Amino acid sequence: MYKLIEKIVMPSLETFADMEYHGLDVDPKVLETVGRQLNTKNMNEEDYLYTCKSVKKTDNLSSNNDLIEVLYTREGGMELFPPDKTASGKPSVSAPTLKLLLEHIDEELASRG
Amino acid sequence: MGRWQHRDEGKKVSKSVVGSKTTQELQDAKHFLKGLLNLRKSEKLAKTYIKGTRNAIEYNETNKVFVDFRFDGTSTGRLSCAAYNAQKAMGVSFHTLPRETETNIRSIFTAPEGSVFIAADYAAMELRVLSHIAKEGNMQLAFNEGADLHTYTARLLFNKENITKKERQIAKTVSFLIVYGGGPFNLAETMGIPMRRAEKIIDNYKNVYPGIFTYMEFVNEFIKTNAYAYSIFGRKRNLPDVRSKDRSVVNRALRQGLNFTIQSTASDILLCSLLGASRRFKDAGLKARPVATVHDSIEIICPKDEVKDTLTILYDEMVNYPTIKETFNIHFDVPLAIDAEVGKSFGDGKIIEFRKGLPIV
Repeated sequence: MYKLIEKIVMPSLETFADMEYHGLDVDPKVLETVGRQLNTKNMNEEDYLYTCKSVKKTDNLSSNNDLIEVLYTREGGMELFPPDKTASGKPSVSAPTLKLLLEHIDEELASRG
Repeated sequence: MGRWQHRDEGKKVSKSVVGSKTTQELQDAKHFLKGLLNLRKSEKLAKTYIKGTRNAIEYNETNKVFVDFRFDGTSTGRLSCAAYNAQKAMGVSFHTLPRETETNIRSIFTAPEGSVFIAADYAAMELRVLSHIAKEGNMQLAFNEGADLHTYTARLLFNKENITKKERQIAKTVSFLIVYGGGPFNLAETMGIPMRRAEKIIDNYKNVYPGIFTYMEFVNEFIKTNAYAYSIFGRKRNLPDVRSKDRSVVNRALRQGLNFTIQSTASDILLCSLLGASRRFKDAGLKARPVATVHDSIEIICPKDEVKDTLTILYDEMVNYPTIKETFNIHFDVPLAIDAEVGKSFGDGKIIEFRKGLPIV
């Protein structure tokens, strides 16, 4: 351990100080472009989601309560069953649960050919 | 809804509900779920990296971000780079920078005019380290032959020549599970295979790489008696939790200890090669300088006309590790390997091949 500190860690502080001092260049143009691309992509994705049959214009897709309605409870909607629940007993809409649902659907579709 | 007797009941009902839907309904639901998951992921990216970087350059009043490296940020000796600057709210961790996305987020970090960005990443570092410290002959053989480890493992695991993608993925998952102390349950969960199959695969793994399990037992025994783990570089991690009466706490301490012996070694190897390389850049009068280290990789910026010399030194330091040999007299049983990329930015690098230690630029 002493050897590690004396021969490696301490001498490398200079290198790290150098890195911290100089920083890392950001290309503001690329930052804006990538930011815009990402935004457009997200907006398109969102628009697409609102075209799905069981989603209403008034639904907020980042609200868990609205998602529970869309996925599980709304009559005439998807009416799926939540594979898991949250600690407080609500149906879960977390990423792992949604992935599980996807898996179930994929399995079912595969078995139907 | 939501009144389940035990954990798996929801899954069963969900499956039968899915089974009662029409194919069209399922297709619709599938597209919705996929879209929703994508949206969540990419909204998070936009928030963390685009907004985070924007805030940081605004705060710094220059088109730069500054990284704060911490030697004491982790318990394994890995470096953590905590935040761009003192203001936590602007913290953007490089460690979670995604590699492959449609929109190349890494490319916002660039080299200045006339310079290039080099990113050199140790390949399969943790498993190489594991095969060395566990003295696992079979795995070492794979690395020494330069074979693709996961395909090699899958061949031994399933005892056949032609391996499917899924089988390779299973082999890869098992290898990493072992490193992080997972069991058959985790394997069944991640790969979506039946529990019994997962148990069988892990049993097979014990026959394929017995050395790893002997090593695990050794480490576990050592931690239980001494309440600490140590790495080959002499780093120690105290694990007082192993004396706990709670079994799950003890098991967590054992997992942490095992992982420590591997991850800490890997991070010290990186530290040594970083130090060695930056010393040699200076000695050779090169303008190349490291700008960041992320996990098992080193990022360097150097003038265009120095690329060849810089890469040659970097390759030698990382792959032939003279600094480690000299200081610690450690010689690894397996060769180390790197993937080096050169480009205008962090994100648009092209892979560079090396022949006899020299880059083909």
